[in-house]
Amino acid sequence: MKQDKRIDRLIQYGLRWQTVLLCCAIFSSVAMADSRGITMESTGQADDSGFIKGTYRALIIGNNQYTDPEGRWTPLKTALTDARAVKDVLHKYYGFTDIQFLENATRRDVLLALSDLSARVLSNDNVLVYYAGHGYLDEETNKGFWIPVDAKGTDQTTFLRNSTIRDELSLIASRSKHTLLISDSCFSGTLLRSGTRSIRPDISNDLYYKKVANKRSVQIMSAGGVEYVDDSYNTSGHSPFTYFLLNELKHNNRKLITVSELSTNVEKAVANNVEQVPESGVLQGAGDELGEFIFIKLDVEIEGIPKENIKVQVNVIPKKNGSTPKKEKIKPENESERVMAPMPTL
Amino acid sequence: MNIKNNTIISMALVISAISFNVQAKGDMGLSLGVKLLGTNWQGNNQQSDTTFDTTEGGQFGFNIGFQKAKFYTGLSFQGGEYTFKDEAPDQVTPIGSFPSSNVIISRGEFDLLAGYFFWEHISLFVDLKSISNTWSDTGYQQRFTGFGLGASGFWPLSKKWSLYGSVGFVPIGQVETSGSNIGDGTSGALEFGGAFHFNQRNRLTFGLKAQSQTYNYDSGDKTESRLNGVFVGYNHIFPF
Repeated sequence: MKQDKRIDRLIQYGLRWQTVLLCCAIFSSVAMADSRGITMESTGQADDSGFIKGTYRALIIGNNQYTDPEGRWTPLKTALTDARAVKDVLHKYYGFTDIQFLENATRRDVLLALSDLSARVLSNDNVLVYYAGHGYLDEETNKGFWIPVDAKGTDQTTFLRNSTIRDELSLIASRSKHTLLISDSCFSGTLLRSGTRSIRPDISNDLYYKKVANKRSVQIMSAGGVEYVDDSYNTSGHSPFTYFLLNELKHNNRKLITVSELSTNVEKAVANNVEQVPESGVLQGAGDELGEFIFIKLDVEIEGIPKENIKVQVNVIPKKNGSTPKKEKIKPENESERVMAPMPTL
Repeated sequence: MNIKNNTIISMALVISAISFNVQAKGDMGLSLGVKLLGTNWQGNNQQSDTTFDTTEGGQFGFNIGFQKAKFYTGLSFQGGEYTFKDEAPDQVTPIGSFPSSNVIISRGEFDLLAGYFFWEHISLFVDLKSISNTWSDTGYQQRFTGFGLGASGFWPLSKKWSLYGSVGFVPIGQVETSGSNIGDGTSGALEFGGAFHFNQRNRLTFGLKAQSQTYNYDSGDKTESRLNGVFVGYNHIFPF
């Protein structure tokens, strides 16, 4: 009888512990909406008008496969799809000839790629960086971050701070003519909090394009402001922002389109369809001279550049010791990348 | 509050937690798995002063797990047969202990657990553990039930490989036969192994498992058991 009471007491204690743990789990499990980030860059050919010179280069980053052991940064569904689609559109429709594509990039991968990009840009180049992946805003410090796939929980030292991204872009911008950052991630608007603008050309003619093409530009298009952004738009397999970005780029029937024009169209389309408002502006302090990054659509106006002569170059980031890192296998888009711990038993 | 009530309440809590979490959008996953254990069961009976050791035995089990961020819960059931050519664990009844030999014992183990990763790689969990044994010669059945505490660790080494382990014990549990309480006991387990991730949905696990039980019967008899062996398992994960 005494033993029974003791057992009952222990059982009750066990139940209490179990209840406490379960309650902790319930209340601590803050639902994090799937968020993503895509970065895309392109390099292109000079158009036949002659005022756009240099190479169109791109660095495209798509992060789906988050491996956070703490489970805070969950795998995304559409970031890689978006990044690949952006890469294809830039190459096929806009003649970007130097595209570096990073899938599931670690913090080191991104920094190395940015460094590599800054090392090879030339003064007349047009450089586009596209990021799709998780983003994060530290509400206390108001600092924004990109989240690489090797980010760990709340350890901000494993994130990519906006100021670091800005520094790298500023270096690239200082060595190139036009630089454009497209960030499809949560809180990506924090990249341009310190000054935005939106130029609407009154006259979309060659004179205007020539004018803005000759001035240096360092522009940003972000999927949202200081807000969460959706990972998937209906059944498109793309995020809303990149879905409408791709839509604009594909169906644009003009030879030349500036980032301001493009962003205006994308912002309207996104805002009209989802509860998310993309933003665009300039990277302050990086040498922007009110120029414009200009996309040149090959199929519409550019004649004389055979597609077979345009090749996508995938740059492999060399390791410090000179060895070549393994190329990651491309996985099906719908494949989960969650790491669940094996269930213990007694 | 009896064991059945505890079980029902525990399951209700786990199910309610799962229901809550399923409604939340985000980092959740469900895993289904199977596990094969090749184990050796040995020990000793105090009353009959005998030792026992299986000639062959093993278990096959399945499990279902749910993880939401740092929280996880799951059910595991495994069962199998152990052949004792010589001595076997005593059959202890309310009226006394009966030596047993040349018998096959069917063993089933059930775990209902919930845990939380309080640290990056380490979680603590509570487990409702039940072990039932049935002797083939007489049909004698014995069940051990108790709440246990444990810790588990999970260390990703790369995208393909990870290490994991767990240790835990049931400090006291109830031993009963045919609904009658015949004593109490303790149980402990240590598990260590690796996992190979074919991809993020499919995982192969393997490792070593050591388990021990000590049953102290009201009759004064005591049986100590140790089950050591290897295991291999396969899990498929459904994210949502």
